[in-house]
Amino acid sequence: MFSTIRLITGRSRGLLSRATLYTVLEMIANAAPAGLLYAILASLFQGPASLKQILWWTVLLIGLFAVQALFSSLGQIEAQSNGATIMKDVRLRLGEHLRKLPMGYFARRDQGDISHTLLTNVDEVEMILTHLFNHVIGSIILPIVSAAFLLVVDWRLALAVLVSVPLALPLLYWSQTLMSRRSKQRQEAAAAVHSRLLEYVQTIRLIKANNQTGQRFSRLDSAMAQLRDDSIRVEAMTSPVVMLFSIVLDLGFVFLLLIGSYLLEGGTLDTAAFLIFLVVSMKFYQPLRSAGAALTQMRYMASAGERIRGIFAEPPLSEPEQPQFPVSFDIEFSDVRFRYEEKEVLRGIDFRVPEHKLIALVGPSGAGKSTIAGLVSRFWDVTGGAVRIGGVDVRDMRSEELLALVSTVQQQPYLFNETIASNIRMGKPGASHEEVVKAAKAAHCHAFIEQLPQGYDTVAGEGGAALSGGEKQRISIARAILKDAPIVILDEATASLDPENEAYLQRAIGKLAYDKTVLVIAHRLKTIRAADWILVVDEGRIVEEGKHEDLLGKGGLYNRLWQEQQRLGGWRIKGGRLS
Amino acid sequence: MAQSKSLRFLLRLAGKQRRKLILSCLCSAASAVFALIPFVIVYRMAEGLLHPQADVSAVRQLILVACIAVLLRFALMGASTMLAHTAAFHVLYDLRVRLIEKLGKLPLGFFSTQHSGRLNKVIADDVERIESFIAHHLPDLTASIIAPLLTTAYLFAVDWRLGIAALLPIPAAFAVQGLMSAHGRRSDDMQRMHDLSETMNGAIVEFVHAMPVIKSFNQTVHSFARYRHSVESYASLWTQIARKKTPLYTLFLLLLESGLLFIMPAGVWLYGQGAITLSVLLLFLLLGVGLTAPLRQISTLGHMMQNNLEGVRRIEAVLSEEEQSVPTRSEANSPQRFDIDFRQVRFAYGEREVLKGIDLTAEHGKVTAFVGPSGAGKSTAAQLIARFFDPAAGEIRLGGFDIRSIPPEHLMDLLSFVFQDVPIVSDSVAANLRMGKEGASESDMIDAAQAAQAHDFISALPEGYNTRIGEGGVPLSGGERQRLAIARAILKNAPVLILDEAFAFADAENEAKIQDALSRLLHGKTVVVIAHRLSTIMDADRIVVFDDGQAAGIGTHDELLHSCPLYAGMWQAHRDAGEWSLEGKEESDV
Repeated sequence: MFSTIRLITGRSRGLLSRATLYTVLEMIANAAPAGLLYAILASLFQGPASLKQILWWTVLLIGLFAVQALFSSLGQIEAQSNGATIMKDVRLRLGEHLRKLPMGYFARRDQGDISHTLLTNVDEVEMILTHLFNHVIGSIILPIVSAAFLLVVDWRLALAVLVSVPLALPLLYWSQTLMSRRSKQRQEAAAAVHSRLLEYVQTIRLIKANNQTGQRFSRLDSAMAQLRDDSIRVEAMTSPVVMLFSIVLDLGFVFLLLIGSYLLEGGTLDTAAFLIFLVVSMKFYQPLRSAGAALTQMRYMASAGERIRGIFAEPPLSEPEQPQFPVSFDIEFSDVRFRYEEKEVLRGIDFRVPEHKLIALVGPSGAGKSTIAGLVSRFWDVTGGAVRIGGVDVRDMRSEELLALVSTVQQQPYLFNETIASNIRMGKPGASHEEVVKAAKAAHCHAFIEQLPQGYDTVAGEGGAALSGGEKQRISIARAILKDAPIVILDEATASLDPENEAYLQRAIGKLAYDKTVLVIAHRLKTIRAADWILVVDEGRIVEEGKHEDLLGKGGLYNRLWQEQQRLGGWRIKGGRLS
Repeated sequence: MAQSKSLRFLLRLAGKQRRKLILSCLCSAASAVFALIPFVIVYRMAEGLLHPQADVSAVRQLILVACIAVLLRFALMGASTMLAHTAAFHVLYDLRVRLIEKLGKLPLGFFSTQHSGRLNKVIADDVERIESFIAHHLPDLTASIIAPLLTTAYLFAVDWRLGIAALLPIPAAFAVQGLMSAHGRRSDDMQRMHDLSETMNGAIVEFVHAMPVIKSFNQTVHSFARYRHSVESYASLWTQIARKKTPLYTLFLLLLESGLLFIMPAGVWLYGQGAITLSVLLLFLLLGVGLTAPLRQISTLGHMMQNNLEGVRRIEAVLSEEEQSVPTRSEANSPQRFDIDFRQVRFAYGEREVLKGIDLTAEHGKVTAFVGPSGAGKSTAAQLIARFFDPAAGEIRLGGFDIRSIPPEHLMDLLSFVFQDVPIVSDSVAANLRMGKEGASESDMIDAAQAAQAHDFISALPEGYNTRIGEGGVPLSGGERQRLAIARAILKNAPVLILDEAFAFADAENEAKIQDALSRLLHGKTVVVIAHRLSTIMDADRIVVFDDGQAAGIGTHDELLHSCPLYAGMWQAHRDAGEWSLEGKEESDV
């Protein structure tokens, strides 16, 4: 458990030691009055105390109290601010790590799951570090100090007190293992609820349209029921075992009474000493019991740590030892193979896009076109063959430099929950407002942006202004124009645009693609028929390639697709039927 | 007071598991009483042993009683814990169900103004925090009240003067707390804390979801300002609060445990005066010293509750959002025909007015197309038919009835919607298809998939119809998702079909086949089609041209070419665009 914590915090115990030290000092100041009490009672058994003595004792008690208060608050402040720092560091490091993971990771893992770890699990680990850790340390030290004291006072009685500890500890261990096994399940259930909720909220339109709201969305309902049952199993059903620990510990006190009575009978124990011992030994059990509770909680939270560790354990995209940087920007795929989970997506792709040329990828959906595009930016690593830019394998380039070379305009653009200006500026951090406006004009979004209530300062993205698909798309093109990367990938970028703006957009894309190496994915063949080269992809292979006219002449898949599109001229819906 | 309102809300929630909780509190209180017994026994032993004729065998009986008390104490405590937790997790589950049911009844407008991370925090985290109130605070509170009361009564019975001394920590501690309240209003900080936590929640969700963009625009974590900033400001507020609150708060807590400071001098003096016996002093040193400590627990509870109550306020806020109106049973209508009428319909997203008084009719069994520039209001108008939003003014009628008078579930049964952005849920293909029609047979489902040309690619997936798709599952291309959505609509087979740019991704290979399937689906249905490409809808029975939230023209293709300049212009642009293409570079380079 502690190795996990160290791994997560990425620090040695150094950070915690001061808070821990304060806690130990506080605990000592807390235990010291018991010693004083012993002295006072011993003196009272001899005879009543003088007023002066009472005064001294009181001053001493107040002094110890002040020391305890001082260290307690120092320890708290220290622990809380350490905890905040650790939380912050862990979140930033996790974010940094996530950024280096291949895109494949995000496609494979549930995104709700990842954000749950970043949020809740980090908070839980913080709880361990700031509160529980010190608590447990203190609760172990205090009984050790008291035990030493008790042994000095009367070793026989002290042993009677201590004997319950080795008996109780295995019970504590048992309850811990039981809990940690079960709380792992509970963690998973909680993460599942988190993801299902996110899904529920994000696809609420679909869910409403299909009458699946509330409990009828059974995936969410059953995830929540599972969480309920797992939680009951962890928290409620382990409580008898936890209680066994407390029972054994407290029976130690009963045992003390028993031993004491025999020693009194035998005359080897003085009544006064026995009574004093009873009062003082109370200090011994209290912290032990609360340590048990804190340890239990710590165990539960440690499984949160495991989840954080899981993310850190994901291998990031490898960075080259001797990074190379291409001087030209042609793209080359040589015998590229790619497998996604069990699905063989690409089965040997060979092609080359010369610099400043426009190459189109066409073919049925699911043929692997988007995967090819993703491999250029190294969203995944190929499982065979190589992808090269300017002759340099993308794996030999620093990933930041590679990504700086490529602009991708995707089917479904993602806008951040920020102003439109900063969404566009993402293409080039630090760009002036003029540059942003210029890019927006080039992408033909200036006009509608101006019409929004706050213009460029309108917040877009989830929870922001309602923008149509076409509007979002044009903002993402403005972003790419501002980025001005030498390689441009258009992944069905024009699919959701309206005719009125298509002509504008053609010019915008023309501007974006001017003197760039361009890879276009399109299903409407008309848009790409003037491409320098067309690759026809089907089932992970290139089945045909060439110029539009050549491909038509071949009479293969391309020709068939073209003829069908020509015949249909796109979809036509006619009075109650399609033609 | 808002706080007590939230508390009442919590108690009402807890009331659903009343029997378990009352029993749990009783067990907890009884357990607290048994916890006192060993102390009393020590007192009795001291009495007996310090007596001139000490009898050790009487001591043995007391030991047996102590033993039983220990066993009973923890047995009761265990029972209380089990009962309280079981009750608590049932309450949480019920509350979450209520929340998601509630979300289902809210207009979509609610979701477009709420970040999904925020809602997620409310339903997952804020609800989870209630657990500690029900499972821990309620039974603990009972014990923390009962035990000191009993102890106080017992101690006063033994000696009232030392009893008073034992209670002195209370005024001392509360003097400090008074100082604390004067120092700053606590709820204010708590609210900021929650706000910042929500901001961070939103930033994290966005950070993870936007990863493709973050990666391709090379936004390192440190330049990803929102994420970093939210994480950092949360951490710094946390530290700030810790520094500000800790010293006084610690003093307050410690004072509650400071009984020894008062009992020792008073007790030793009274003993010196001969006013009490030594065993009474021992009793007070054992029981009196810890008398006020449970108050510490009460106060910690108060402190923790404050945090939780802020969460409860947010839960209540969601629960009290205005729901879309639902007709009472007597007002409920069930249309028999399915023509759709818009009458002076107005609608705005916030300040942006999207529909400015639309009048149109989509006839029963006919195809009506909505066309127009992007942002003209086509999609919004289509979504109003499904009551994703309610119009700000005017009304929409289905078969002559205001759609607000049709029970929402019934309305949804009458509509099939194929969306532009094709949402899917991360579940099996089969579950995604069956969303349209729960309990549809395997063969109906496969028929629908075949009609939508989805069967082949589904069969090629690793586990066919049981393959998990969506987030975390096998990824599908845009065209594949689109065909799933069409299959879903075919399976649902509702009398009204709304196609919002349903064909954007469909590829030529499958188009002809899907068209065949759709033509069967469309037969006899009321169809509303939104399409960007005019050729898709030029043969529709009626075309509505949207422009800036108004209907700029209504008619057939041929009519509109003459009567509506906007449409004629769009048609021209469409024909030109049909010709446009991404130029190869060879020509332009020359």
